[in-house]
This record gives sequence, structure tokens and C-alpha cells, in this order.
Amino acid sequence: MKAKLCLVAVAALVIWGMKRHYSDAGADDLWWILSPTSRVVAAVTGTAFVAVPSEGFVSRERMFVIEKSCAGINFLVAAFGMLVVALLHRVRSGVSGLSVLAVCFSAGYLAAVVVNATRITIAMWLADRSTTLPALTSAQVHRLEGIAVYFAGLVLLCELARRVDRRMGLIGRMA
Amino acid sequence: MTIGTRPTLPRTFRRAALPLGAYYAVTLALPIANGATHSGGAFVTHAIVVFVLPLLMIALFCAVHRAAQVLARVARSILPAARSRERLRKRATAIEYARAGE
Repeated sequence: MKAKLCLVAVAALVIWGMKRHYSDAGADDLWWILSPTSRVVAAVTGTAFVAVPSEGFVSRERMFVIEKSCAGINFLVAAFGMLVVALLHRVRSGVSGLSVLAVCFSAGYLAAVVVNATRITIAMWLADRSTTLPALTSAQVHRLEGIAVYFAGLVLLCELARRVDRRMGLIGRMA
Repeated sequence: MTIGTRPTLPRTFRRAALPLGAYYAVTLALPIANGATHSGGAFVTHAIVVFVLPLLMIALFCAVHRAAQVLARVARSILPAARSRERLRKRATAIEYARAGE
């Protein structure tokens, strides 16, 4: 119980730290998430992105900027918090708490890069076809797409975590 | 999202409660705690969209899953006749092979 409470407290601190870092950071400070995201988007779309100081990653050919607001920090925070709650029952000691924390952060970071790259790729695709949805402005389409992709990403990540957790439990019981 | 064989709406909502809670916490609760409501109607409109869209997605998932189940049931009720014909044809072919072997 004590280890679980400690883990929740540390997770809350990590979330607070990430939000604090995000509110103060410029695009240059977020290279640790913007750079892999832009690389995944470039690999999927075949578009070249160039790092521009204090702006982010720019594609001049597509007139598209992956900037601070595209970093996906909010998704990372949501994913990390969700995974900590989902895997809290695995914490039995300080060491297992630390490993759960590390797994949650790594999985959240990986998911944030993949889901955010998916969101940006779809946004680029939609930007080329903005005339096909006349009832909505491009900003509204972008917002709806962001909500749908982020929520779907969280649901899929949660299901994946539950399945892996169940399988690990089975392996543990068999061993 | 695999929810057993029958993902009823309440069951699916229970299953999606954790991601839904995490999403609402980050997109609604944290901004409200930081005073986003003071910024005027723009946040309220945004918040309504953020609140409603995931719920619609869950309901849509249930509807699509239910439709797929109904279609599968219809297909199963139509197929037995065709399946029994196919079984008879296979049995006849097997008997023919056996006789040819003799």
C-alpha cells in the first residue's frame, strides 16, 4: 500500500513536471519529442522536415510546421497517468514501483510519438483535401481529428496494456 | 477494443472508463483547474466538443459491433444450406477416391 501511494505521488510529480516544462518550453526545448515525431511523419509521408530554431520542424514543400503545440505532451501526460493507474496493482515494493514507472513512461513516450505522428499525417492528408468538407472550417476539422485520434490512441494503448498485463500474469503464474 | 462477445453500451463505457477519465483529466480538468473557463466562450465550446466526441465514438463503436454481429447471425442462418451441400459434395468426392483406390 505504501509503495503504491509512493508511486502515485511520484507519478503526480512527473505529470506536474511535464506540464510545467511544456508551459515554459519553446520548440527547441521539446526536440526530444518533436524530432522523433517529425522523423516518423517524414518516413510515412515522404516529406522532408528541416529543424528551424525556435519554430520546430518545417516542411517548405508542404507548407507545414510541426511546432510546440504539435508536440503531443498532453497525450504523453494522459497516457502516462492512465498506464500508472492500469498497472498500479503490480506494485509490491519500491523496485517494482520504479520498474512500473519506467515502463509507463517509456510506453507513454512511444505511444505519444506514434499517435502524434498519425495525427499529423492525417492532418497533412486532410489539409490537401480541405475542399471536401465544406460544412466545417479546416481548424474545426483539425480539432475533431485531434480529439478522435488522441482518444482512439488512448483506448488502444489501454487495451494493449491490459492484454500484456494479463499475459504477464499468466506467465508469472506458470513460472 | 474487444469486450467479450456482446459489447453492450454500459459494458463498453465501463471498459473505456480509464482512457476516458485520463483524456478528460488532461483536456478538461487540468485546463479548468488552471482557470481556462475565465478565457470566455471559446473554451466552453471547445470543452463541449472534447466532452461529447469520445462518447459518440464509443456509441458508434457499439453500433458498428452490433451491426456486424447481426450480419454475422444472418449469414450463419443463410449459410447452413450451402454448407451442407458442400459437405455432401466433399463426401461424394471422398467416396469416389476410395473406390478408385480399390
